[in-house]
Amino acid sequence: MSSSAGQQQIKTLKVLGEDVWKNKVEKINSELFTLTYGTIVSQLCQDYDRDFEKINDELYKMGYNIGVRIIEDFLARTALPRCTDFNTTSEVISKVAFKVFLNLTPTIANWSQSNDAFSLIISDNPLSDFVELPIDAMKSLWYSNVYCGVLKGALEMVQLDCDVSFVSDILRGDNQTELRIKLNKVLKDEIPVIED
Amino acid sequence: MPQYFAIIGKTDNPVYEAQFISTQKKDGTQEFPSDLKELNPFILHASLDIVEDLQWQMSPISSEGNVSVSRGGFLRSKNASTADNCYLGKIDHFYGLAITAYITYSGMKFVMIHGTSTNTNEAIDDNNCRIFYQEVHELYIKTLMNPFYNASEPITSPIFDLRVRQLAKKYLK
Amino acid sequence: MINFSYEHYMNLLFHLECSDENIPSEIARRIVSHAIAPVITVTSTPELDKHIQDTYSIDSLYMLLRFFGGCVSDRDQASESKANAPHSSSSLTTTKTTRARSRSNSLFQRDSTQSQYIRFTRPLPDLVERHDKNDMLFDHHSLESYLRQYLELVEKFTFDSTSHQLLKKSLYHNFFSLAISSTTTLSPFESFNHPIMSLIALDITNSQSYEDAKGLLIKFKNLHNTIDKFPIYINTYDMLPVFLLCYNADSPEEVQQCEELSVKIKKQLFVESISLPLWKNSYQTEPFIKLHQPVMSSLDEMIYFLQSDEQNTLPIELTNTTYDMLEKLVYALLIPFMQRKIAFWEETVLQPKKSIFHGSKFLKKLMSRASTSSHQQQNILTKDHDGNEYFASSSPELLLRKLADWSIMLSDFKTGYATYEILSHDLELFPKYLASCLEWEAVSLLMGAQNIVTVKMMKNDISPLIDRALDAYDACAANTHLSNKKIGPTNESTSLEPVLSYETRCLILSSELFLSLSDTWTSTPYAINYLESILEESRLGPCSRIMIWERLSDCYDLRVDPRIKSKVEQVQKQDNLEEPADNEHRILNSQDDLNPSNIVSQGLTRKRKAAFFRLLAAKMWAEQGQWKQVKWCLDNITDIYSRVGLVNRDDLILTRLREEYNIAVSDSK
Repeated sequence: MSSSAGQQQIKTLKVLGEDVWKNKVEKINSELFTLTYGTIVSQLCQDYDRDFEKINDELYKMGYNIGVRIIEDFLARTALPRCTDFNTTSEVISKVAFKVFLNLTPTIANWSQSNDAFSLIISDNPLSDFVELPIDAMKSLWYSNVYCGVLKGALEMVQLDCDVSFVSDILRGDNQTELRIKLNKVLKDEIPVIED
Repeated sequence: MPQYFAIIGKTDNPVYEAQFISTQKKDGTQEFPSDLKELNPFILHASLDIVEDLQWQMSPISSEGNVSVSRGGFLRSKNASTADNCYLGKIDHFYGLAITAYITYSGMKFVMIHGTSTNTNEAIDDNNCRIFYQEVHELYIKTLMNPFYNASEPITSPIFDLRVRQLAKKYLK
Repeated sequence: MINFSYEHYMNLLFHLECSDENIPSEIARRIVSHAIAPVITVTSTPELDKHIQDTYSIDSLYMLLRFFGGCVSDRDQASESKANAPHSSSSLTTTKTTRARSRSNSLFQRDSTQSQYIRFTRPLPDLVERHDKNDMLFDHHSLESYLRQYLELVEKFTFDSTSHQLLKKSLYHNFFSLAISSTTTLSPFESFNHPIMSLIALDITNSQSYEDAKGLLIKFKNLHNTIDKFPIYINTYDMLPVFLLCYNADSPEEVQQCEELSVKIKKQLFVESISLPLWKNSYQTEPFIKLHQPVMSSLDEMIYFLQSDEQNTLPIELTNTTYDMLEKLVYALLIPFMQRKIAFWEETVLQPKKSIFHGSKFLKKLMSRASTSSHQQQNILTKDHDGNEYFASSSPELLLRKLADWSIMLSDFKTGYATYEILSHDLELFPKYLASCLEWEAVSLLMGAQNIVTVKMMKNDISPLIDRALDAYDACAANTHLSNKKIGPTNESTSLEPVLSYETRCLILSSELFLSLSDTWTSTPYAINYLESILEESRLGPCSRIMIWERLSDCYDLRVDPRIKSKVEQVQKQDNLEEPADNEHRILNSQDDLNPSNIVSQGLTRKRKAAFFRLLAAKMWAEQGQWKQVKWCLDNITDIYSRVGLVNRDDLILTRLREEYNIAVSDSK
């Protein structure tokens, strides 16, 4: 794929994302959203007695359950064709999926040499607005771990088996919030998409 | 002048406390004397009665007699700009110490004891004081939105503390 | 069951069994009535005094009668007998009926006119001799040392278990009564301490006769000539001499002698007599009762008697007989005399004044402008022996003042107020007189108005009057200061004290009267204001000052919005009943705090302020080493502070005081 074609595609995706966001999505108050999520996390902290590893897992699971459903809705809304490659997938996630659901566009960065892993740099994470982690959670809690679950679940539904995890989080005092997606394999009962 | 500032919850529970020390060298007293230090929370607690009185006032109090109230009550006017209502101004005094207060819509009381400086008999700069309270109010709202902060529990966040102190340095003498 | 009386309350320390009783809120008015009660001097002969000493081991007739001051109809000395000897001899039953008839507990009377208070004092020459040249009203050093001694007694008589709520109030009122009253100071500016009746006693048993009586009367009438430096503002003509004939009731001759003498005295000297059977054989077989100290006496006497262990006793019957005699003296002689004098002054001094102006302010202004010079002449001060200038006793100003003073002594506050009002216009140029006049104008309003004092009255009438009075006192102080500067370097602080003593009295008096009003929400700020001025201006000793601090706390405690008054009282009652409170009750209470009606009620009390001032008092008591007081204060505030996290930290004063108290207590053990 030529780079200009790639650019063209990215532009189209961007326009699509904005269009869906503008016209086809019902919106809710961001503070309500943030608070709702915050409540869930802090409730989990209480329920799991501040065992943050477990909480991370729990958030991941919740996200996964969201992911496997939301993909259906996402595809219906956007009517996007199958992605031709993992590059396109990354662009769709960033420019369309994040845009439509969260009105933000993470930056794609840190492609691996084998082109099977990339990072999403999330600035202005709406989930962590107002949040300040308690000291004991700074080291171990991935506050927005639900993202990982969602991405994992959604990608799995489109036959992409990925590892999704946080690398760093501003909330933990890091410079940026970075989410890593690594493609393990394309699931078998589908014809692999091979570029020629 | 030094200040002693506290945020008090509805059951008189302290949510946040801080003492601001003046950094200006020319200012004689930078800190409260020790006998006042151990008394400050009590002085502040005592003025809560008046804050609560003002909280339910529709109009400025004039019959208060011994207390000079520089502005009216919390509920006093529907026409006044809303942010203004929260700032109650100087509500009480105790032997040269002035006490100002600010009340949030959920009934949190921000109260501050203003120490006296030795050299001058400065009056409180109402404008700066109001801005200070308003900005602390904003910080407080943000804190309240933090899911890990339980309402009416003491605020332990060092960031909040730092920001309040910065505000104090900026707006309070 | 003991009848809780005014005397019990004022001397509660000696009646600790009553410490859970209630007192009416207007108690301060009783105390003021007592503090300005008519003064009766007691003159006796050496023979009579010796006779009394031999029989009853009481130094003199005055020392005996001073026990009977106070509210005459209360018969508080006799009421003691009821408590102390309830099962004693049959003679008690005979007197019981008379007592039951006259038992009228002044504490709970609605109307102060129903009870007349009196005070006894030494003979006039003694008073003049002791008179302070600086016109000092009271000496704060004596007040302080009295207070300290009294506190020592408190320490001695009370235990940890003693309930102290009422006792503390009593303590303050005891202090208050001494600060506003003294029977020995002859102030030139007011006439409350000027004796109204002179009781001249004769010992019939020692065969003192008409000649003695005549001699004593002449001596009395000539006092102003014979005594060096007799104050020009005292007039023996305004004092009613009455002979007291003391006799032995077992001797028919003496009874007859008394009758004859009294007739003769009346006929030839135009003086009434009254007889008292001081001796009787049956007295000795009767139970004796212990006499308690009278509620009000001069400070010196109070201090003296606190120090001495002297315990005087008298036969019950004699006590009752003495009260009978006093009732007669007061209701048949003293009050009619005062009323006659008041009527006379009204006619000769007040009416002419009124008729000239007839209430027309315009005319009055015109007149006063036109006749400034003649006006000046009218109000003229006379120099006395020390070179001080006063209104003489016969001046219309002083007579009007007396008219007003006497009116309020007899609880006629309306006349009192009106007269002070008129008088105040004449005194514009004489700040010392004006100040006192304005002060009492306000007092008579507060005393007379009962429960109908409105917010408006406080704001527009009473408070400005007191402020004007205070301003006038300040002006006096400034004048004294100036004149002293002219004379030369004198000790400034001593020269200011006299004025300050008046000012302090005015402040403490008006604060207390404001507190006695029923609408405490509006009245307490005034009281607080005055008490704060005392702390700022006066030179009271440290313990006295702490009393004021504690009173400030009481004021705030009383500051309850009328809308929730009943509720607050209910809660307090509950608290009192269930002390020490069990946990369940606590929890219930704290839940109570969260219900919406309670949230609305917040801001309608000043309990937190009250606690704060109590805490300050505790701190100051600790500085004075008065640990019992510290404990009481701390006990008082335990409840309110116990649930407040803000104040219970280790580095704060509350914890420190508690620790210091524990150390002090364990040290003393």
